[in-house]
Amino acid sequence: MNPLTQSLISGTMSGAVYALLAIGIVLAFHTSRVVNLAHGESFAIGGLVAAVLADAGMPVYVYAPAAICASILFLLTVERFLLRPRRTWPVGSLILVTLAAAFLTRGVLQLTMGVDPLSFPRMFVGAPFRIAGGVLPPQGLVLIVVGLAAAVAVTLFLLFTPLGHKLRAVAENPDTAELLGVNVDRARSLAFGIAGGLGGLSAVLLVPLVSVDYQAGLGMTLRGFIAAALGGMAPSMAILAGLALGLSEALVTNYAGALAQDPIVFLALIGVAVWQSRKIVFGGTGRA
Amino acid sequence: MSKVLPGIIVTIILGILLFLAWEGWIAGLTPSTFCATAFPALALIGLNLIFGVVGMLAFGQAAFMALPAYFAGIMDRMGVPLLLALPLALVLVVLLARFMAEILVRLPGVYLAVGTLGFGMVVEGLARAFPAWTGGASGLVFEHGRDLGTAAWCLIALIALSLGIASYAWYVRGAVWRRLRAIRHDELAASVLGIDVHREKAKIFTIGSAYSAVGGLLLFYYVGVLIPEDAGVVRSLEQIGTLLLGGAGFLAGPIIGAFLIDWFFVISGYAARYELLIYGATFLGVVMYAPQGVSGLLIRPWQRLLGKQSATAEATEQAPRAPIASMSDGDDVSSCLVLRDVSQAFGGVHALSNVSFEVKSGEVFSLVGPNGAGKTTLFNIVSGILRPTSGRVLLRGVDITGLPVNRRAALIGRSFQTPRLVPELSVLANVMLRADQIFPRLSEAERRTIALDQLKIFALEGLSYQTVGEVGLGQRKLIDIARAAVGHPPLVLLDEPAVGLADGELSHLSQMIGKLSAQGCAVVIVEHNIEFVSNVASRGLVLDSGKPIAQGALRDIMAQATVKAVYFGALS
Amino acid sequence: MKITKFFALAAFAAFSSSSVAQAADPFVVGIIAPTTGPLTTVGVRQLSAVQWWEKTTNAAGGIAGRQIQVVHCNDEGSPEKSVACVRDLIAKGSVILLNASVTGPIRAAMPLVQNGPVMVTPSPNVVPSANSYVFQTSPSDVDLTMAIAIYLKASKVDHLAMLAATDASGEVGVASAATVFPAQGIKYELARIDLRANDASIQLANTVKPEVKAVYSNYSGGGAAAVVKSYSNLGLTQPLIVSYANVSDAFINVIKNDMPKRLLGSGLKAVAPQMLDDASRRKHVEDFMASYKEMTKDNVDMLTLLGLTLADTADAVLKNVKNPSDPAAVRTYLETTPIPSVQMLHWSKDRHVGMTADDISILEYKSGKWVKADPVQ
Repeated sequence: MNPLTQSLISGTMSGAVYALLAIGIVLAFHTSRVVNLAHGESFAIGGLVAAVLADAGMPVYVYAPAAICASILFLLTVERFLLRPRRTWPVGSLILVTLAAAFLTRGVLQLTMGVDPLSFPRMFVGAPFRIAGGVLPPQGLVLIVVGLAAAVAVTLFLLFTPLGHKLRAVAENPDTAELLGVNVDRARSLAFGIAGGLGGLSAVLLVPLVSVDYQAGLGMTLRGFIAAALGGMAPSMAILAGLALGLSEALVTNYAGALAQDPIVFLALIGVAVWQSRKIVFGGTGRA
Repeated sequence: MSKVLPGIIVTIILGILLFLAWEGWIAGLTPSTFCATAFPALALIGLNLIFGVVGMLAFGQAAFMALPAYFAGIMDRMGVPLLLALPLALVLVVLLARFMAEILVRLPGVYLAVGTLGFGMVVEGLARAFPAWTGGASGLVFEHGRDLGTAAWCLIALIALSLGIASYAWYVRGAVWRRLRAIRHDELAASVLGIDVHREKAKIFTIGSAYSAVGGLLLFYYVGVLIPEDAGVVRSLEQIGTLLLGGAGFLAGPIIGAFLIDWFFVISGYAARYELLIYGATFLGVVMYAPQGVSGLLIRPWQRLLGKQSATAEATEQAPRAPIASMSDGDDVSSCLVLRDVSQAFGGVHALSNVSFEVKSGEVFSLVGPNGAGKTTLFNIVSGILRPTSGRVLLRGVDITGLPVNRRAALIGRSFQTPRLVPELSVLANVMLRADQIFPRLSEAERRTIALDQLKIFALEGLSYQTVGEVGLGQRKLIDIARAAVGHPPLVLLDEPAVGLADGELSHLSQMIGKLSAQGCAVVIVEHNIEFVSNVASRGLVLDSGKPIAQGALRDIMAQATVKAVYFGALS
Repeated sequence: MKITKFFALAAFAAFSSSSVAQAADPFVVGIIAPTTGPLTTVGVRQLSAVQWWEKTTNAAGGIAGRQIQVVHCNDEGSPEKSVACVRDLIAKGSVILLNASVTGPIRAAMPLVQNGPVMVTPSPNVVPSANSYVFQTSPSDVDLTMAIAIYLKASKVDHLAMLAATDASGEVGVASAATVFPAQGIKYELARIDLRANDASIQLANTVKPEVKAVYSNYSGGGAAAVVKSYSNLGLTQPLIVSYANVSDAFINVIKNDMPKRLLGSGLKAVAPQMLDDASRRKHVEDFMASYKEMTKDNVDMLTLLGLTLADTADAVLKNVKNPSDPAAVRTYLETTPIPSVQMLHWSKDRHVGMTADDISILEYKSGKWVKADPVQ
């Protein structure tokens, strides 16, 4: 076993998950200006729904799509009933609304799903692949491939398709976008729906490899947010940022141990944040 | 509001609460609850300053609460006596906060959130990584706190929190309040008004962190054990939630938030499994129907009432006319603004190429040209927002090309295409914003007089006490212009002042510009409305794609064929 | 002014009735257990066992004609709230305090009872000092580690890989390992794992060297599943020993599709009651398991058993100490009397830890049950 190879593999798997989460947050941010702090709950809901249905005996082609649908529905609900009626509110208050929604969701999940961690079987079984002294289970490979593919697809969609452009226009200036014929409400729903789908997808791919409980959402929101912010909230950078985060966590853990992971990675994070904003002179709403 | 009154009121309320707690008359409120809440409330005052008042997304304040306790604990292990260790720990944390502020406050919005979050994670991680120093994940135990009894701790809590609120109320009002709210709303505009945004934010971050440090140090000595999670992200986010619940930006916000949450925690023990659900539902309810927190629900109506009262009070008690220093008196340098060969390139794009012109004192000069010609870029260079790629900018013979934005405020007044007024402040307060920066040594009353006089000169004083949010766009533009001229700066820049104005307002604007030039200010206008500009300006410069194509008396240049082509293109 | 007054009155009206004394005063037993936050499973399970005791005892007529009232305070795993909980529970008249929380909060709570009342906790990471009012029911973490060491030595294993989390139990585990393993001649490769980690393959790759014959995962949080799954991914064949708190159905449920070749756990013998020599203890545990299952539909696991030790201690105190409100009397009683629980608890003036390494067995999960483990091959 080669610890370095294993670190790279492990880091890529984490990175794929972070990338998916980051894109979801960036999507919501770009269409609503709001950092959706309830995003991670879509992961938790997807994972728990899948686990519960799997335990009840449903086959994978039922519980996996059901889980993703649940996640999509969740974020659609958040957008439609919590955010949309309050479109004119200041961003800070809306972020707070999403934070409160996250708490409420956690409470509901605790009551309905219990407090124990749950899991469900891998969809892709078989002997793990051995690569250069490292081990990658088939589920892990699918996680990386599908996860990154989905993230790339959404990024390309946002950057290069007319609909994607419309979505991005919506956050910048919703009134102008409306004047130009963009149905802002539908655009927002679409964005949140996709974000929910990505959250559910990451759960369906990752949870068989670990576990999920009613509290998993917060951690996922945090990591997605960090990766998204690292990428400057730009769709083009979210994937890279997610991968970078996953890989650096893994490499630092390998060489310096888990206790050093947080201090080193987050010091680097501060450094990156400082570096990325070196050209920006004025924060706030200032734009000459 | 007076300096001391809020502090006194709060102390009385806290005293009553403490009494109720002591006697045990309210379920869930005991002396120990009071202490356990007072210290986090004190720390929350700091967060209120940083996040509530100035709007900085600080997601790492819990770390500043835990750090002094960790430092004190470490020093204790090293044998430093307690009476020395405690103040030393606070000093160290404040110094660290100042250092971190320098790095972090440059970061805009989301990056600041990430940076502060990262800081919190670093502190938590370091605490875990060095158990020999910090007690590690099992926690750092503080024994000395136990020596004081409940009564002593309650007294400390009452004094500390009262001092905290009183000091906050004393500091955050008048010019400081206006300045901080301006920064929160629009940093660019604040800079142009003369505010050193970076320095102010760093100062607030440090002061706020000092409150967190004192609150934290007291809290952890009281509780007796400190674990790494106490420095971490989850705690910091909880604090933000608590503050938002109580009302961010309000004086009472931290106290209401802290006591409500802690009382809720005690009471909700009865809810068992439903606790998280109830907490989430309550939180969501408050957030959706009371976005400014409990304080907003309860205090706004009072403030509006009080605001109107104090407005009339202010109106009657005016200080005698303060001598208004006029910047354009004194050496009557006739040449005011000179641009020499100013060019600006963004990457490969040449926004401006070799622009030169001169504006004399008292002259009204106009910059015209189609959209994208570079007019606003030019303004930004003169304001100091942009540094030109080459060329010089001289004001009254002095080269100001390298002068920072906020240092030009006394010399240059500027209004914007979209008026950059702070909507929540009154019209008068907005105008005072500039007076605060230009005349820092004058008293509040004197500056108010200057602002009022300015509004009177431009016949806008009827709007003085309304909030900007209530005033129409046209009037806001006029206010923005009036503000730009406070203190009679030698140069006034007006960016598309006529856009959005009705006919009556246009003539009002012409009069205002006439008054400005009569006072000796050089006025430079960017404007599309050729008809309007021909009436107010004498000379002008036409720009097209960054290149100057005609300069001179307006009537002459507007008649030139090249200029007509630029404007009417294929039509001519 | 008005808000606080309004809330004060509302609270007073709504809740003041709760402090009205009942006709025949019940015994108030306070329990601190985290039921929200990252340590929910620990708190919820132990609380559940104590509540079972409350219900069944009251149904049978209470103790000496008085009912038992268990008052629960959720400390959310935070020392700050733990302190508030202790004060609150004492103010409500708790005769004895049960602390089902984790290391940091327990350490914060301990000084608050320096003059009583007696506080009982089942956390292996807390070793109360002998002259305090705090009693620990389970073996200490050193004892747990010693039991593992004994098992390994009996199998002639002298090289071990150990994974420990970055939390308090991990920290204590690392310290215990440093005390126990070298003295027993066992070499060990140690790697720490972050609480938020999604997989442990890096740690395993670094520690499971060819000469390592067994793997010990001290990680007791929900992320322990990640260790087991990574372990299976890597196709490791050495036996995997999981910690105390993972010996439960809930944990097996999470890892059931990724079972390692041999899954071992350190636990009280009571987990597999047939291992208990003392027939009366066996009956006690078996009766509890049946009754608990009937009442809650859940199976008993290590955490529930630890909760039962709390209940049994409270039960013994309330039944046998003449004046249970006198902390000194309770303390003397506990220090001088063996307390019957899932296994006998022996405290003394010199030791406030109720069990020893002898009370622990290394178990193995075979055919859906935990049984005594075979030696490492």
